[in-house]
Amino acid sequence: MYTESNEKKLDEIISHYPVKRSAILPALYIAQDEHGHVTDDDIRYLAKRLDMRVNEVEEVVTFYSMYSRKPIGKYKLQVCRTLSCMLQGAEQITEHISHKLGCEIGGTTPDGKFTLQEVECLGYCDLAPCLQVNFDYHEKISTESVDQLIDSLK
Amino acid sequence: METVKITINGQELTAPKGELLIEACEMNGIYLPRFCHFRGLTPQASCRMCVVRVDNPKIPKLQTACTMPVSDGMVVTTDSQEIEEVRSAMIEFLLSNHPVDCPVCDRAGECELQDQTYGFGEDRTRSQYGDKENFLERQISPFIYNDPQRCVVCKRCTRVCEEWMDEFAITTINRGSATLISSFTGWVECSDCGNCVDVCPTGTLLHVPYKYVARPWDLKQTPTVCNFCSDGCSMLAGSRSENLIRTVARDGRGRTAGGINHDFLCALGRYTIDSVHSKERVERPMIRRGEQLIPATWDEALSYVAKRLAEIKAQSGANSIGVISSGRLFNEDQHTLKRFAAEALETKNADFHHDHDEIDLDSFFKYGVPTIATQEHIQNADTILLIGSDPNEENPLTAFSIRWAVRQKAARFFIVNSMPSRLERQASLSLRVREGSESAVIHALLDESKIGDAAEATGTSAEDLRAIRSALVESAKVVVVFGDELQGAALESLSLFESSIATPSSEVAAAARTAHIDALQRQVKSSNSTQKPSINENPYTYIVEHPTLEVATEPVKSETKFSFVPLVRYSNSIGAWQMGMSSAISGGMTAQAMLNASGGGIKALFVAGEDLIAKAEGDVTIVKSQLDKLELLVVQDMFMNDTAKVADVVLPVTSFAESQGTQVNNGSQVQFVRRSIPPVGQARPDWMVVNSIAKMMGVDFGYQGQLKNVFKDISDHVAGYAGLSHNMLANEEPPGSILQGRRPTGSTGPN
Repeated sequence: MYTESNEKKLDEIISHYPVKRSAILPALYIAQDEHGHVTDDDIRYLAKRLDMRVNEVEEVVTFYSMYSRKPIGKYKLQVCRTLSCMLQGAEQITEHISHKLGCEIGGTTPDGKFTLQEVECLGYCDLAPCLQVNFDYHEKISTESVDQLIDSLK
Repeated sequence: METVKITINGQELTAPKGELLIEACEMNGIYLPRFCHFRGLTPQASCRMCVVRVDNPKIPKLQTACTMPVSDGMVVTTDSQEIEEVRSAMIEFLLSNHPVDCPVCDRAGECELQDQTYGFGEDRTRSQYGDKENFLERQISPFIYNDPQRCVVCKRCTRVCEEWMDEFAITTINRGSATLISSFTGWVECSDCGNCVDVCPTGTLLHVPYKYVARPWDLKQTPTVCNFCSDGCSMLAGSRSENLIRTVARDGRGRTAGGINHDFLCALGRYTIDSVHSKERVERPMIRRGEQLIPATWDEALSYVAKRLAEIKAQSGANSIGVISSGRLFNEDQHTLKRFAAEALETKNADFHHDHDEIDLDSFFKYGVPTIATQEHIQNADTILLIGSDPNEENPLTAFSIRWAVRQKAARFFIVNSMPSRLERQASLSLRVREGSESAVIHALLDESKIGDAAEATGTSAEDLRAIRSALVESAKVVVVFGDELQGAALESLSLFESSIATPSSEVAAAARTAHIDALQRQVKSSNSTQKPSINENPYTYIVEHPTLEVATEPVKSETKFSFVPLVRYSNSIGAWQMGMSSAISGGMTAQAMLNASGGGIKALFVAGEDLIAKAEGDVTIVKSQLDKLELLVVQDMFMNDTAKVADVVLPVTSFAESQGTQVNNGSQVQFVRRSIPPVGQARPDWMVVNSIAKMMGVDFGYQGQLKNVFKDISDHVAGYAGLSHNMLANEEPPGSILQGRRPTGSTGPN
């Protein structure tokens, strides 16, 4: 399951921490980068490597919105829905994206390119509303800027 | 214990130093509402129900009492307008996704969410039906049913699973309002202890066998004691219209049976009770006519047994009859059987069937009785040594106590075992030794010079053995938990631990012994008795005997360094031994020897509660043919088992739920077992059956058909039981505590 280079990366990460299990978050990223989501096998494997129990790994994966247990699109659009962004019209933007892409909130477009999600505070309250595309932040978004962004990604 | 003064709601109170505020309040009779807080679990502080105001300018916000330790001079308000509002808001939040389906919920009536909503919540909510997230209910294990929508995410269940059972079989997935109790695969694979269901404050987790079976308020709850292993957990038996419905460690209202196990119970106690109403139960006495067992009346069966036993006794002599009992029978049954053998049958052959899996108590108690450790001892030990057996499978409460000691008291834990055990996760050092070589370790621990030999015999390193030995020497309180792997000399030498490995100098110990013997002699002198006390001394113990001394005593050991837990197999193995149902005490044949002699020296066997064929060592057909050779085989049992099927007479007896009596657990605590349902079919208690047969043979034990008279007889004749009564044992809190100071020391039985 793990390639040799990933193994090396994992060893490197584990060496940063006094306790093996502390490496769980970066280790999960390696797994996720491999398949686009965290598979059952990944969880079993990491549990073994990090001396954890599968249930503990599952708990971590499902707790954080940055990980996914199901296959998702190439671009993961996460719109902040917490107070500041919501007051600045995040809800309408989410609906707009949903309409434009033709997928529900939490769903993935049929071509497998986009996944749309609502998430809790992204920490950009001063530049609300905020959208996160994979690891990039796009602040002060509007329906127009979102249109442009999505077209550029298509 | 150090205490601090605190002021709660203007009342000056004291509390143990370092205690959590919520517990300190409870000790003083002030109940704070809570969901996530649970005694014995790590603080979670997620439900925010126990918020209080601490009067201190540095603490401006309301505090959770479940995470705040008390400190001297603390001023706390637990009840005010502000706090009421917070609690009511919390309840509203917790109910925002709750289906409020109490009428169909099994928990209703003993639901903490229900009680606290009634006590602290509002009768209206702002959440709309459409806002509720819907999760489907489903079964998540053979014994657990999960309805996630009722969950308040207190995480008691996941903490119990991790901290008590060390399983981590269930966990929470997702977060926020989507949090669910689930697991990696969605199906929970665990030891099915069911503790998660007991501690659940809502109807989220439910017992599958109890689902839609009864409402809690319809159940009659009887505190009773489990008899499926030797730990002796107390439990609440819920019965309705003569049926045993469920057994729980604690019901939803937090009521427990108040036993040594507190809130803990395992799969054995919880989910094996259906045997009480099993189809295999024998409901009527049966007599063999030709090939078949034909139902008979009690009078027919009893007089037939009495007549045949008398005939065989007259023909072949008294010692041609053997009596075998099971370690599951109560003290009263064992005592009556013992008297039956000694007085009615006049045979020496009386033994409780200790098969190959049972600890040889005769060897263990050979040089007096070492301190037997209770669960409390284990939980407070500095060092625990486990030799043989796997408590995790066979004595779950002991395993729980070991985990508790390691987790809460940072006890050192060593395992010497030939089999893998899940407890190894807790062990500071785990030695996997060759099968059958456990005894060598005992010798090595006693005598440092033998460490080299032991290392070779067991296939471990001498350093490891030395490490264990030095840990034992350094520690102040050591509990040795051992299984049937220890035999013979190793078992006998366990009582040498105290003198050989003890830290205090031998002079101190010798001085204490002299002082105690002197004190006893003065006591005898003061009674103006003319008879001199007999003093028996050996290197290990000493016994001073005299009629005026309460019990012919072994030393009243103040606080010994070593205490032992013999993981005997049955709920009352130690009791059976104490009652004298042991061949070593009566001087007759062991159960195995009786079987081997069948057809020869043994013509008739009276078997109470033991399935000899199922427990056969090795070849089953050998035991079958041995039983065939008997002229008379009387079996009194609950079930139509293999041995009963070949018997000449089968007498139906009651289960633990249908009879009363006392039993002794592996901590040597005498516990009173209450009747929770009436007898099934025509079943009668063991002692009553035996008593009737003895009467027909012309011997009256003077019980007058009353159980309390049987126990009176025990307390009159069996050492250590003097002064005890059913009434006393039934009312003690917690059960078993009366014997903490004075343990039954075993006996030679009556006469």
